Amino acid sequence: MKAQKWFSVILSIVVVFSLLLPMAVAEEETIKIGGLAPLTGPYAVYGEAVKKGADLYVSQLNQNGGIDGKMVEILWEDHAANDAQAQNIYYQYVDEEEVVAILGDVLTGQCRIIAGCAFEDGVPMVTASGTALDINVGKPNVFRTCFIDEFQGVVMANFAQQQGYENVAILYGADSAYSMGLYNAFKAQAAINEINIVAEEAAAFTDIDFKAQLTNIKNADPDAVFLPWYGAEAALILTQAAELGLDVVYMGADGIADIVDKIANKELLTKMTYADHFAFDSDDEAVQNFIADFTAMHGEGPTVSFSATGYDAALVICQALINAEVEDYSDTEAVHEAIVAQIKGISAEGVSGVISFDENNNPIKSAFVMTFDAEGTKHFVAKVDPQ
Amino acid sequence: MSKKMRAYILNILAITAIFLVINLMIDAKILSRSNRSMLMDVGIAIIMATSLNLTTGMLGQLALGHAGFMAIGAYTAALVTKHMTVDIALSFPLGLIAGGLVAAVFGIIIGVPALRLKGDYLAIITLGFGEIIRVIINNLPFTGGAMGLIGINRATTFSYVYVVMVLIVISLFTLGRSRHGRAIISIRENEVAAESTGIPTTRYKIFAFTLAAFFAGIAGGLYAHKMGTLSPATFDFNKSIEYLVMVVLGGMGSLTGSIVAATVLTMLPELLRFLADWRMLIYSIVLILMMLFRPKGLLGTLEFSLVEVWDFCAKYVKKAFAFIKKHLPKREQKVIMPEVPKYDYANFNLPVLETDKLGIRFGGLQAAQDVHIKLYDNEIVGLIGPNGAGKTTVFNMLTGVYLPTEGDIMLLGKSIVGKATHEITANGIARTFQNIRLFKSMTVLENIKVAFQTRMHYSVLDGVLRTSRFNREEMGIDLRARELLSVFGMENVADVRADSLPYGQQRKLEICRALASNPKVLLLDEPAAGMNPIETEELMKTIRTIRERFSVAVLLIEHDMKLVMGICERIYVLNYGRILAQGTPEEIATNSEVVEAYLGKSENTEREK
Amino acid sequence: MTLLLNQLINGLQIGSIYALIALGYTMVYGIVKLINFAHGDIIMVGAYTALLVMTGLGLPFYVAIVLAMAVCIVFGVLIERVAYRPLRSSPRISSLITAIGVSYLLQNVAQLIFTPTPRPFPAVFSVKPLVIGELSISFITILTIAVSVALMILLQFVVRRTKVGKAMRAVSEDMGASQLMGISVDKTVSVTFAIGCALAAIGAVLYCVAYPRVQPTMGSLPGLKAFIAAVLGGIGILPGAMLGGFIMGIAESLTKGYISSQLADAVVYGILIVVLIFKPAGMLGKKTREKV
Repeated sequence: MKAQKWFSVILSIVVVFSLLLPMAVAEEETIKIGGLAPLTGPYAVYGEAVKKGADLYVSQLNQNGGIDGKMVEILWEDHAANDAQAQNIYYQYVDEEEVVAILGDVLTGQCRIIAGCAFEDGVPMVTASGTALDINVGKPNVFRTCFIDEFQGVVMANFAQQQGYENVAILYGADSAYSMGLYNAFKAQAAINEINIVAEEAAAFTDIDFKAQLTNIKNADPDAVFLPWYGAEAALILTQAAELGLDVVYMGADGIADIVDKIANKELLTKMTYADHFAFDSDDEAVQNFIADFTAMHGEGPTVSFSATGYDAALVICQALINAEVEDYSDTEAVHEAIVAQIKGISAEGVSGVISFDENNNPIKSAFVMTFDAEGTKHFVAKVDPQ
Repeated sequence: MSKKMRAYILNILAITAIFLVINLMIDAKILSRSNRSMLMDVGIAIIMATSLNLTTGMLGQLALGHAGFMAIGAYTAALVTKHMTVDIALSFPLGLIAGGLVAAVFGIIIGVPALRLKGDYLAIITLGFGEIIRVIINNLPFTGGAMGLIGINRATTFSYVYVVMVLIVISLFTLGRSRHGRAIISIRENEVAAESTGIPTTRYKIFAFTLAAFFAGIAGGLYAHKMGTLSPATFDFNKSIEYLVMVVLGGMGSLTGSIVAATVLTMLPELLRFLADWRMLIYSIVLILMMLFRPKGLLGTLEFSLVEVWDFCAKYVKKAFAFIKKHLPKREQKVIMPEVPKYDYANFNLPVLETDKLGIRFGGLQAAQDVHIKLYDNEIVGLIGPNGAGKTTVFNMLTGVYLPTEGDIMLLGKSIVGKATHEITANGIARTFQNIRLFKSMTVLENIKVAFQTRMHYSVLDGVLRTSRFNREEMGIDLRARELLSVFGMENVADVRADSLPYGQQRKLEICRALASNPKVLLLDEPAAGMNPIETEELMKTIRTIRERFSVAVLLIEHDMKLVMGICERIYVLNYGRILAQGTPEEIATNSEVVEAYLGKSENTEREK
Repeated sequence: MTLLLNQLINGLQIGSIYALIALGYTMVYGIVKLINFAHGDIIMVGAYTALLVMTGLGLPFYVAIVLAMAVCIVFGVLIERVAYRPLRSSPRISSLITAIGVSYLLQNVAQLIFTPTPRPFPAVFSVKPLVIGELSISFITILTIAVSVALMILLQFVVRRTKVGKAMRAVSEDMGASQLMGISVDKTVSVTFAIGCALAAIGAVLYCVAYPRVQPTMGSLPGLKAFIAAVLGGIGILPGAMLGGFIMGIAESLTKGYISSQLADAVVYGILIVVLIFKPAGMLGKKTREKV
């Protein structure tokens, strides 16, 4: 009985403490942006990529005096890709921290939830990596600095036509909105381009064994296989396909970008081409500067293109703030409105190209078709502009 | 004023006060939306944990697929509000109920096959069903599949969650303290004994499982309308585990424990967010340490009582209660006594119980064959025989635990072969067990009350709503149960846990419980086993008293020849599954066959005792 | 026909890995009646050990197997002693929750040390598949199946013919009686955990060779699947674990190949449910009846 009383006392302290905690945060004279990303858990790679890119831009901006002398700060709270926690953090940012905008989220699932909240509140939101079409449909205050899945699918289907692949197989992830979006877009464009889809096999992101599907694909004898997956799964697929003696070329989308350090036999990568937001080996001065600055700040170069789109997302928000010439930050609603209005008409020089938005709040920007050499270094193949 | 009344008033006051304070804090903007959102998560977790506690804690069946029911409720409710064209104020509650109902239907579909299994096998089969639900949702055309269901009206508010949560928790509390709750708990304590005490165990298992599914479905509906987006991946195996951890950590069978654990475990990750990578590590270490040092959970099966705390800290408030009491209209309640079944038993010269060519075969083993037993009203009959002769097998056939492969059993002129054990109990046969089977963690009084089940009528709703019918029946059986205990001189231990009684009293309690179902035939399986001569002497007296007071026929298995010869009017001798001899004690004692087959070894058996 | 044969071989490969892990599960369950949820994470420990030995220390493959076994045995025995032994007389569900806690602990420690990012497991064998007629079988597949079957036979021998095995069987029948007969229950349980974890380590390395991705949460899925395989075959029965593993592997592979990959899990669980409904103790399990 004694122990139970003890527990209940501790419990009540915890409860009271938790209610008081948010009030203890002191107000400061900085402009705050709410950064949402999974920084732990299996998707931390993407979260970290966005965070590092965005932090780089903000630190550069602050070194040059910030905005009207005010420093900019991106708050980062980890939700480990948990929907409910992401929502709670969002509320905390908007209600308690009074952020001017939301930068994030990273994965499609949380992007949708946060976009729903942000739309209701009218808070400007810019995601650097949410490529699913529906995230910002009908939500005039939700933007993204990456292209949409449909665009990537079209790009790769057109690339397949250029290369003269006649028979293409698809192995997609049926439990992932990302993979499904790419699969549908690729398939539709392939039909237009008169490419035969000889096999459509599904798998799940929790799978580790893809041999059954690959055996079927091998049986269909395609010229190329489209793999709308992230790097870790694509690495398994390439390895198992090689084991089965499936000797074809592969195509993928931006998720492939992190495959390099997830595959042991890097030679297999030479058969892979994929669409990316950004070309790391571009001669472009802005890109080279970005890589140099990034390396200087974080101790290692960017590996995933979301670092670039994350940089651009931070840039879009801050540029909009500068253009809006906000004087009174206390009226957050007005600030939000001003930022949304400015982002709509923005034309800024980002690392992944000139950024401006179409009527659906998606960036009008080019995709880069990339491939790898046997050491796993990414190489630029072609640049595809939006129609 | 009764303690119960005080508890009612106090609980209502506390619940309303919490509600008002939190709502005031929300209005005053002390609680931000992130706090509110967290409180809603807490409320949903409480519903999930307490409802899982019904299956896992109270019923004692380990279920690993609770998140599956939440998913069904979430999707159903979301689809209802999305597709109904009426105002959300109307479609939301309808959606919640629909979500609960569809989840309950799945609860039945899954429960019927799954609950035939026990323990780890039940765990794994519920896990399987949970995963199948997820796969199905992923592949249905109208759920959005992997893309998820978006654009759900975010209608869930804190008040909504709070009210629904309070209603569910209260109904679980009251249910637990009604005859239905007692029946459910008795299944956890000892399923075989529960069934033979007249509890339809299968029906109650499915009922508890389904009700838990219903509540989980409602929680799912609240979750869906809080998040605004659903994806099947949310409701995976880990989600079920999360709620199971809450139940076990809080204490299986303790609703307050579940509430506390659900609150702490939901808030902890938010509070420890600053620890980043370390917080899950801390969580797992806390989990292991908790289990190592408090393996029965935070509260065990105890419930936190507001009344006791109140009485402890503010005695003078009792005066206020006394004042209220004085001004409250008094209402006399008529007590409903449990009815005494009238066994329609016309011909007094026919036996009460009669078996005809009764036999059973287990695979190649003929365990009993051609057993003829007749038992007349108010008779005490012994069933003896060497170890392994098939005595308990005969009992098991009589009570429907085993289905005889041949022959017939007539109780009061009607065949009872093929009936379930609990039906046979309701028809008038009660039994005790060779190895005592009490509902160990229940009190002596509750043990008896469980056995009144066959003669009580109030419904689940009566129990949950505490209607006057509930009160009157409960008061009736309380009186009767105490009366019964006093016959056995056990009224002073009524509120003691059954397993803390000394051995002899445990035996007595088991007999007492058997009598509570008002049987016509009482089967006693080695009642004197493990008793010393004085206790045995006392037992003989008790058995005679029982016959006189309750006018039952007693059939008893016993190795103690002194007891058998001392009280039995007739004796059947069983050897190798067949009746070897029958007659009065004198006849049996002098029967040469019996002496050869059985009494020749009587020295040995006596030494054993 | 070739396609069917290929799919069957695919099924056998993943099935033999399930079977290997299921053996450890089933042994532990048979003896302490505990669903050791941390068993899957022992695979992860073995995988990281092998990875570090091979890439960090640059030692050859067979050394990695031996070291992985050693580390896993240490972990397994330690976990049993610290977390499970004190709870042997507590309610079963407490040990279950503790096992879940241990599983989380291992995953999170690994996440802190190695980060959640998956790492590739070095390619050990050449990837040229063996071609027999139209059939092509990779060397890894042959190796996996052969090693699993060999280990199962060896284990069966240990349990049936050796003194340790006899002690294990005795303890699983009746812990109290075994103690009275002079068998050290603690020691026997430790040996069981050690053998189970050694098998998990071998399973881990074979798993990584076949599916070269090492990450902190890698163990939970094969762990769960292996546990289901063990239940399917009849938990506590060694040949049952083998049978369950193979059936699951083949069922998965055929469903993925011929029906739909999304239904693979549903089919596997469906088989489990149907089997348990008709044979409540699993395919090779004996029906036990509570004695009244």
